[in-house]
Amino acid sequence: MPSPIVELRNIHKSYLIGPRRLEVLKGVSLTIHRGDYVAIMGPSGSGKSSLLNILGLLDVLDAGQYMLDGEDVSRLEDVELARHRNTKIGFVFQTFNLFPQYDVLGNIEVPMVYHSRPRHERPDRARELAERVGLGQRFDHKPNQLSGGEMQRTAIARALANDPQIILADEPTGNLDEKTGKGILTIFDELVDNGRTVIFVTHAPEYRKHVKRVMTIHDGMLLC
Amino acid sequence: MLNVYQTIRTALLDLSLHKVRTGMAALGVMFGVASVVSMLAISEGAKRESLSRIKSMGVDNIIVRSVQPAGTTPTANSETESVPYQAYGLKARDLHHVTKTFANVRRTAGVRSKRYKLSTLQDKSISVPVIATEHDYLAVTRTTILRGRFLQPLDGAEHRRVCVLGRNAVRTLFAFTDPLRQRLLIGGQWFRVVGIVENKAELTAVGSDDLINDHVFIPLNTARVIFGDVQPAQNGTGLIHVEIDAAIIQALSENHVMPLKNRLSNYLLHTHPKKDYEIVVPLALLRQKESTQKMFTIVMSAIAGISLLVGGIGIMNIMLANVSERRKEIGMRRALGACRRDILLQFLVEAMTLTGLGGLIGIGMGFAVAYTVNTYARMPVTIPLWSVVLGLGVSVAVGMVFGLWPAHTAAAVNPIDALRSE
Ligand SMILES: Nc1ncnc2c1ncn2[C@@H]1O[C@H](COP(=O)(O)OP(=O)(O)OP(=O)(O)O)[C@@H](O)[C@H]1O
Ligand SMILES: [Mg+2]
Repeated sequence: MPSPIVELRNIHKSYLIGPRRLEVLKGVSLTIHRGDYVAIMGPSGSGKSSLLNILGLLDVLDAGQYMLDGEDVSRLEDVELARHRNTKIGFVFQTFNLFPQYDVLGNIEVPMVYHSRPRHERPDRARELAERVGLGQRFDHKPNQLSGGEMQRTAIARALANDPQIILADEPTGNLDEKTGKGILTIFDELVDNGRTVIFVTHAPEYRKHVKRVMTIHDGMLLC
Repeated sequence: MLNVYQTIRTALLDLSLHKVRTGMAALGVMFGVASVVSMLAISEGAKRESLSRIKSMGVDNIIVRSVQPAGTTPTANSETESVPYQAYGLKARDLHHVTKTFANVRRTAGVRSKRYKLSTLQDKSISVPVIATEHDYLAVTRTTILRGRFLQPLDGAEHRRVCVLGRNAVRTLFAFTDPLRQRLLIGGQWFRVVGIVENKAELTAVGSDDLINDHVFIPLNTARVIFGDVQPAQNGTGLIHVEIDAAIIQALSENHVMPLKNRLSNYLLHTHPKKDYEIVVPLALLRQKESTQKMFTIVMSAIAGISLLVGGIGIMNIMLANVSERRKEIGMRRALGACRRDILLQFLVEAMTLTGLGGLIGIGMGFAVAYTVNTYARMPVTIPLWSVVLGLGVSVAVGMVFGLWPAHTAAAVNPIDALRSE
């Protein structure tokens, strides 16, 4: 059995809305191993994105413990969190969130800028990644010159820039048609085959059979 | 470590999202820097020119000029003559008294200047400025002998008809012959050339509009004996009687100038109650000019400072708008591994690039203004290198100071909130 790459112990997260406190995650515990392929499902508002943001170290938890790759990351400084997001985690969003001012290669290079990767290596690395996700002919296109599927491929290539162990994706196919979505899933399949851990949120039931594990979240609690 | 060129290139790329708006924001800084550079060019030019004009009189010198008392003209004395006649100005004995009895005086030189038609033996006839003066003129004006000698005390005492040529006068009078020992017709009298002098500082002669180098020099006493002290009034009718047009009085040192000036004006007040003289103290003019310049510089700096302040506020405004518009980008950068400091630096560099670029254009505009003023207003301008460095430094500093708050705002953006907002 490989060692767990992600381990959550009794995670709590709540938001203050005016005077009221809204509990979004009510004691979530889970273990994900290296090479896992996980789909997180559940009704709207159940806390899927909140959970993913905590996994991606974008949000801090109120209570509980988060072990990432054997390290307790529950309470880290901004600089440390940034370093982990930069090197261990690749984030993909439903709305792609590309930088409109940069072309495909420029977008893919952004995480490398925050990494100490030598500057002269960046273009080659970016080109290699773009080719790997099937964007061989689109290097110098700005985001507004790309189709939705191409934008999401760019976003995935960008998430892979520093060769992270974990890919987190929040409804990555939500804005794409079925066929294009399948294409994205194919890229994830390859990543898992190469030993990466992929965790994504989805509403599409057809992906249930596609992944190794499905986690269903309901009202802030995990039903396994 | 991020490479500077790369950082600026990225900043330009980021700023290129809103070219027009960004350009407008930089206008304030542009004009501010343009005014800094052009004002400095104009004031520096004016300073150089006026200071050099004052310095040309010599800062350890005092100059006393003969002037016609205000509101008087030559009048006819009905009993003796019918021609209007007026005598005024410095007398030779005044100068003699000052030279012999004033303790603070190092040397003096009386001066009479006039244009004459000069002829050489080769029949050239040219109008040349002539100065009749004394031996010490050479020393008080810091002029040096190129060849031969300058006027000697004996030349005047014995009324010798000798002359000395300024470097440029040689060129106008003797293009092809060796001027030394040549004869020169000045005011109908033959003079022999005994020397050539040069004023290296290219100074203008006292009592004349021409350079010292343009002049021909003859002994003052000889001129007084041959040509007399009486000549037709330049404007109007009648005759005027002036012994010396001006006297250059050199003090022992700069520190002796003001005491000497006081003693001199006291003496002249008693001996010349008609106020037919004028005392010019180059040192005092210099001091006054310098303090005027200082005032000008202060006022101009204030104006430039205000336009830079306004420009800086414009930059702050646009950067704040930038930050709130690019919250999503900030959130995404954080998700991809930027820490707060990275975001802060990014927006700070963007602001500094923006103002630095505005500053560069402003410097160009400043050059253009200085050039225009120089060509069309015929004002002297000098662009000192430090003003360019200052302009660029100030514009980048404005970007840093006024970009700090927007950059802080950017760094404080919560990535989750930013990414959730659609
Ligand atoms: N920053 C916030 N402040 C207040 N409430 C929040 C915040 N973020 C999320 N919530 C609330 O937390 C709950 C869970 O939100 P979350 O985005 O995790 O749901 P989700 O499962 O991803 O839903 P969907 O499938 O629609 O994306 C929602 O009720 C939401 O209103
Ligand atoms: Mg969601």
